[in-house]
Amino acid sequence: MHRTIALPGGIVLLTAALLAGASATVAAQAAAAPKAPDPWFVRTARVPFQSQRIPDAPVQLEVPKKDWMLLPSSSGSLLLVLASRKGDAVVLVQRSTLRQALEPADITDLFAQIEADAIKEQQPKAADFQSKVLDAGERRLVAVQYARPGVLGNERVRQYSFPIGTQLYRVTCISSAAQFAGYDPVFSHIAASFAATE
Amino acid sequence: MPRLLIYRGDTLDREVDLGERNARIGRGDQNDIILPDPAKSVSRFHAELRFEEGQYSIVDLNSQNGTWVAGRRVPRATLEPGVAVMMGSYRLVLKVEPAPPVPILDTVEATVLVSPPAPAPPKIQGPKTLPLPGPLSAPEPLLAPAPEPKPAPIVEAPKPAPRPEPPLVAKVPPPKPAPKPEPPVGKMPPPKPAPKAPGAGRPPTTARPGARGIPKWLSIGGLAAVVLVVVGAVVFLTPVKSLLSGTTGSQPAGQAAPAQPPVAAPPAGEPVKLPEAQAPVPAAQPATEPPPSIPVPPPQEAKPVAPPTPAATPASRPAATPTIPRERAAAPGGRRGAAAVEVKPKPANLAQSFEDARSAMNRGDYLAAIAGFESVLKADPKYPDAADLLGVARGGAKNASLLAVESGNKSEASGDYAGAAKQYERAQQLDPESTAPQEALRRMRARMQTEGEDAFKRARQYDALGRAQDAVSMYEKAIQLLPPDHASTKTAKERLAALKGGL
Repeated sequence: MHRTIALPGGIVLLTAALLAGASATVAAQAAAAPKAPDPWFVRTARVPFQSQRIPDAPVQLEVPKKDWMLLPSSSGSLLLVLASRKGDAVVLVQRSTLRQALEPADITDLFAQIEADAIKEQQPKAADFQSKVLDAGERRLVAVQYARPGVLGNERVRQYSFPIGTQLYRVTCISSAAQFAGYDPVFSHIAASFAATE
Repeated sequence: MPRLLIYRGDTLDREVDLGERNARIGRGDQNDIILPDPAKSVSRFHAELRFEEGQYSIVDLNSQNGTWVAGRRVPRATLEPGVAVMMGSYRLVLKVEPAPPVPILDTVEATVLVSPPAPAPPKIQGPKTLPLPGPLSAPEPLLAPAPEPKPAPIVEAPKPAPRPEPPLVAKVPPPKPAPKPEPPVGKMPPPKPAPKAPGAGRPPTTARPGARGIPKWLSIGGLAAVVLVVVGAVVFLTPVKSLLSGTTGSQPAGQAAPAQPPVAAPPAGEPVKLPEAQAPVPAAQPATEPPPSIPVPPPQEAKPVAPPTPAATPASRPAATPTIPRERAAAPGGRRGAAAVEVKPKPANLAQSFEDARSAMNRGDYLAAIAGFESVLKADPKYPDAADLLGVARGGAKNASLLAVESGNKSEASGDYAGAAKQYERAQQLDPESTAPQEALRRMRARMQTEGEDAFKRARQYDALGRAQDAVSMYEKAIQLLPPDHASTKTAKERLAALKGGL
């Protein structure tokens, strides 16, 4: 009598334990699953790229092998100018000094907001702002995208800001608004490949 | 128009204009005057305010915690302006715009009653007209050169006196056995030989003869003293006539005064001698007091002053001095400190402690009230009303604690963390058993830390990108919000100093 009662109880307990274990495994797998890359910050295989060191700066990035060219840059904060051969897109790399070194944890939405404020200050006609805080491994950066009237007509701009130590690198990707979607994978790849060499 | 001031805790909640109408008071929404009370110390239908025959009365509607007036639970009471009515954590005070009615007391009575240091002065004219022997008699220089009065006839007087009050005389308790030497046989005891009465010095409106907590003999004694004086005046009528006719003979001049009507001021130059209880309080002296050119010595100086009047012989003074009750004699001197060190309060001090505690409760100082009632109960566990009032005070403290937490929540929501912390700490003091203040304080500190860390991050980002003004503001906020020992506080202070130096 007792055995017939105890047996179902043991089975129930065993089943529950197995289910719990299975649930935990699924949860752990879900937690460990890599986060889907942000479309603003993802490499692409559709276009061939090559690594490019930036002169006088401990950083590098990848640039398209075809249809893009490096232009001589003036000294100072502008480190690199990359232009499409069609002349409807350009990528600029600039450097400025931070007064305080920022840890990834220090960077919040506020950083993007401050960057957007600075852009608005310099370009009063800029509009349609969007911003993101992006995580790439141990790095954290912000991206601000906006529209403006420019030499290419209506332009769309996406600016990536990389705080590295006391340096702030800004990678600014510009194209006509009509062509921006076509260049978006290139811009995203260049940004995703940006890295410190030291 | 009369207004009802509604206090909750120690803050004025609102004022209500009272028309000539009745108003029901309680926690329920159906009342005319709603007293919201989450702690439910106020009943849903607690009391009714009635306007009857030109005055307001409060009628308790069988409430659970009762309606309290001047420390007594009352089923019904007439509202006096300025007298608090307690309902749970609420205090209701009637406020009348015109000046309050003149007390039905003559000048001497009123001034004596409001004089704090005078221990239970008699509410009669007697002390003015019946000079009590004693070294502290201030206007002594005006005394007629006559021997000390012999008030003995007054003791005998009530029996033959055809006054309507005589029945009260029978209720007069024997003079309180205050320690004193035996007076000469046939001499009347001092009008107020009792120890300091509870509530002495309070305004007459708060006096409650026969109230619980106050010895009845005091109030009855006061009435009896009035009767004695009136009767004494009749008895002394003949000697006074003799005195006025110039046949002073052996008639003491001090006895001439009782012949004056109780409310009439003595004629100019009439010898007036105040009792000791009045002497220390010049302001309490009647209009017939000595002219200003004759200084009234302060109580401390009165004793060593030699009587300037030759008639006031030193021989008469020792006989008078012992009639001063011990506590009355102690009042003006420096023995207050000695009384303070007593471990167990005397009955009079106990009554005073009770009164103090009750006053504290009426003004919303529940902590003081609780301490006071606990002290009274420690000395006398059966002290009338003390246990009940202790319960009321504790209930009031709990309600005040809840209110303080609410107030703290509001302050916290508005970002006034310092104010909120004070309220929470006060709530904790008011109700140490409650966990709500501690939880609120802990929650607020966690919130402060979160906001402080956020401010620090913002400050660093502003700082890094060169927005110094914004960085300073955020660093200051971070320092304000973060605990002093927080890791970021030191950095914030350093950067703040650097930025301010650069600004």
